[in-house]
Amino acid sequence: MLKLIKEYRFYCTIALLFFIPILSLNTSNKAETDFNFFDKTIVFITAPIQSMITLTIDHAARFMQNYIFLVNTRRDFSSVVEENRKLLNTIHNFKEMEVENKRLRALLQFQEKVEEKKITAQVIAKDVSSEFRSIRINKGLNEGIQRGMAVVTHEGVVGKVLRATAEYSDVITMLDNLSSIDAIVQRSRARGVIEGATDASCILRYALRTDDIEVDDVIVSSGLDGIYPKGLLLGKVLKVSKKSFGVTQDVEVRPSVDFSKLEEVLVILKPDLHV
Amino acid sequence: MYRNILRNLNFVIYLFIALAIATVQSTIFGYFPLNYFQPDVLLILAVFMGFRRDVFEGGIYIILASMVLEAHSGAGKNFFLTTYLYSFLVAKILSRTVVVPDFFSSIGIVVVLSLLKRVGILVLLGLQGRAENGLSHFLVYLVPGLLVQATLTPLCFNWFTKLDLRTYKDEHAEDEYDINKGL
Repeated sequence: MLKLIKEYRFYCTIALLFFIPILSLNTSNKAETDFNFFDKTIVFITAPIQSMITLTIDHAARFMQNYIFLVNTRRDFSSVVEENRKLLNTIHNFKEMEVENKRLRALLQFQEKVEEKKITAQVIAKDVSSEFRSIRINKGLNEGIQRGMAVVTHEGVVGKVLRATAEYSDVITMLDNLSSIDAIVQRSRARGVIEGATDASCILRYALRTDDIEVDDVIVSSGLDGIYPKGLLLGKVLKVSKKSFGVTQDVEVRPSVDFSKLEEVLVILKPDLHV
Repeated sequence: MYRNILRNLNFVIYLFIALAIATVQSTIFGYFPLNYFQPDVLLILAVFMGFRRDVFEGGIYIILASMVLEAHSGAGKNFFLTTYLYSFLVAKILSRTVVVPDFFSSIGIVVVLSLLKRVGILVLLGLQGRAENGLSHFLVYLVPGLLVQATLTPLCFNWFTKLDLRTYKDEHAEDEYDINKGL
């Protein structure tokens, strides 16, 4: 028997290696896995280097942009764009609050006041493969971050915490193909689910064909998924296409967050479903 | 003695290479426009291992290296393990049967496997009813991705061969270094 195994060692090993992935592959539990000991060791080694490289690149890029190229113009433009984004976000929030207030006054006649606990973190790395769109931040379990917590910026929703070590966390962004966020159209209150599609766009799924959705409509989180607080800005409608058949319509959404320039994020430590 | 130590260190050095691959791919290649040209060096390494290593040693290495990459990605559990282990097995079986393991065949195999990997991701998304979401990304990244893989394969094979020679892992290392005394 032993002789037989030795003789067919190559084929036995091939067969063994062939069955390992079949037995272990699981694409469905993406959001439920935590770092194991091996992962933690790897992250402990590479994360500081990733952080160092990213900081170096960011500083070099900033230096190039701010000092070598258009010194004043660049700075002024950046601040105006930044201010514009903040104002737009504030307007969207006011609109959302206005719509919500009207509805609530009509129904219950009360207002809700909510305070959220947030923590700031820096983005130190992106996904190792261009097919997936997670990011790594420099805050972890030590700062109270846990799996499933919402990650946002002043521009809107970034994603949710996928897994965390003591000092670092991986965040699955809303652009990732396997990300889903329950959403509503701010103007018409049409419902749907935002799914990641490309590096710069998402798709609003399951919006009914009869729903009133137009280009430039603002999409906000519904709060029903229990992860993202209600009313957070998700993006704007880029394209609406209705086929001649079916019960839903295809809606392309441009995220409100500029993921190509994402440097700092806020992790909502205690998600509250009503903003 | 010295050569034996180096030969045994070869495996560890390759593990550090996997760490370096994960670090570089997740930082430098995350920036625009480099993200369009993000290479998949571990895929090239999987084919290299398939050509040059024993099935047991190569298999163990690919499993460990896949786990390293998985710690740096939001991909589904063991997705990289599946991709790279099957790539390794394909290269191993082909090198033992129909393909002469040289630079040209390595480019061909890497490009085909890279294409299959991308199609595989679409199929997996399709199983979850989301293939449509990934289609435009697939089309945009396909050509630059394959070009990068085809360009990088001969370079990487060259570097890895040199590393094998220097660590006396390559079967030709003894002869070569005996001839060029002093290296």
